[in-house]
Amino acid sequence: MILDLLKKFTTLWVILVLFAIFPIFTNLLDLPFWNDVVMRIMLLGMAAMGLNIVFGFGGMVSFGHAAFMGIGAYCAGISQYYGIDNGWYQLLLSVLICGVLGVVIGFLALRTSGIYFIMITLAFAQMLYFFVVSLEQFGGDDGLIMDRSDFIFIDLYEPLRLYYLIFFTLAIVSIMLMLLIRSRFGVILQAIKSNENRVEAMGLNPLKFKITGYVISAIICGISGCLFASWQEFVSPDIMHWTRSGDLMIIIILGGLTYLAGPLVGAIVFLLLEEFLPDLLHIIMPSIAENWMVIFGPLLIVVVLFGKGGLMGVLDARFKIGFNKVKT
Amino acid sequence: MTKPVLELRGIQKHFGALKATDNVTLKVEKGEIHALIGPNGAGKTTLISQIFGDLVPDLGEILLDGNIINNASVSDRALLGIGRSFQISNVLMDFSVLENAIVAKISQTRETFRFFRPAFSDPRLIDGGLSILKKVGMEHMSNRKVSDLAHGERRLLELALALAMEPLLVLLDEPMAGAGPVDTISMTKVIAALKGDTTILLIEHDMDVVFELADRISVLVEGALIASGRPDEISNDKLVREAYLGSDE
Repeated sequence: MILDLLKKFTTLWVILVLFAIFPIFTNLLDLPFWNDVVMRIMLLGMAAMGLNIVFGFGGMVSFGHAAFMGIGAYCAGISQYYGIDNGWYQLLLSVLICGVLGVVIGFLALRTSGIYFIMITLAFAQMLYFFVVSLEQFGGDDGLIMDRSDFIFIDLYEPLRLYYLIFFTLAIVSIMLMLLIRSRFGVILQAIKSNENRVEAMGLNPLKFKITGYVISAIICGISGCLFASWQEFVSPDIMHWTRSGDLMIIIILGGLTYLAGPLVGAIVFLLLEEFLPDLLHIIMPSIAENWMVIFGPLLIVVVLFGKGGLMGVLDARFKIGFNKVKT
Repeated sequence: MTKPVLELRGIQKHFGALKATDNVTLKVEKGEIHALIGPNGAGKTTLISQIFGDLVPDLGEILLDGNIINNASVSDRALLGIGRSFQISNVLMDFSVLENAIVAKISQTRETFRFFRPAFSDPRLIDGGLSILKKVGMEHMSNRKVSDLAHGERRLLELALALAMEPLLVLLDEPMAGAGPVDTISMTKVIAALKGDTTILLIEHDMDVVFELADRISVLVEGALIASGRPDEISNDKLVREAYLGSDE
């Protein structure tokens, strides 16, 4: 079975291996800053993979998943505020709270579809955002400065410990998703995206599967957010601003939403551009460097318009070396 | 005498002032092909939507195998034993033929909340899927993508999916709609082969097909049943000739 997964999800494995060995190079070249960039890529990539369960596989355009990242982050931040530094506990708390919120929001929002679903998920996310802003005790708008959580046996202040904690979490999430997406549940979720009426006529209740998918995706975003707090050593409502929900969607579309590796590819390209496009522009076109979005936006539009299936779709069409779409 | 597979007792459905279904009482016996015909706008689709659960009747009872199913949801009714082909082809377009059948097989086994073992390479599900396709003679095209299939082939696949649940009753909503003459012949053959084993309620415009396949025919005009009987009775029925087939004079 492992061999089978290795064959089917080549791109994803290649990316994971690159992440695993990346610190060797930064160490040799003495560029520790790059580790930081890649940690951010892994965290947002993980959240985007989570969102893609509903977005890409289930065809549900949820515009509020940053809220779950925020909930995860605040689970870490608030726990620490009360002196509970244990990172494992914080992770568990994130999973539980995001799971419960996922059930509640999913149960209500998934009764709608299309534009209404987009709006209602955005509304819930905004609700949670302003709820967090109103928590004066925990910094409100200004957020909460915190230390890295205490993952027993793993001292996150040792070099690279946080990097590999994030990496292994991403690897575990990836492998779970490889299995999930080809399982009976995953197949039915994709069948619902393809034709909900037919699935219903087969005697399955689509809502059950959609809610389950929604909860799983919420939990993955929560885990990402909880680790994000340790990475940033700071939690603020910013993490769950609606623009981040938009970023997650852009990352997915950029990478290719019908591919399991799509969100990771998207996160790599998106965040590298975000990081280095301004610097690059400073060199070639200083006049617009401040407004690097002017270049970034059209770039995204080009990929979406001409690269059907995102960057993975372009690679797939160009090389035909067995990039596998998620279904098979 | 055995229970009818499907029984409608005084079904009524109004849309505002429009009587879409007017006190329809109907029995579909086990193993028969029962055709429901009627001119455009007679309320055929409204009636079968109520049988399938998309619409709820204002009055009356729907019984499947002797049990009232008025309040069951669409997916519950499918589990209870109603298979369906839609008026417009309704298959999983992004999937291959075999994958369509496998999804049907998964829902038949009811072991749906499995999160780890891959479904499309499970030999049990592949065998099950192939046997579903065999019923309509599509097993040789199992690897083709549905989006590449011809219209008639999609209709056949849809029939296979409707049969996959081994339903007590299959609703076929205009299976010949949009099909060419060749497709119609092969589709008719497939349906004829099901006769006796499968109880079918057939809604169809093509009268040649109806008279070839049906054991009994019910005629719906303006929401009400005006006649029900064997094909020869129906073709000689005065009311039917006037209302539907058109009088000769």
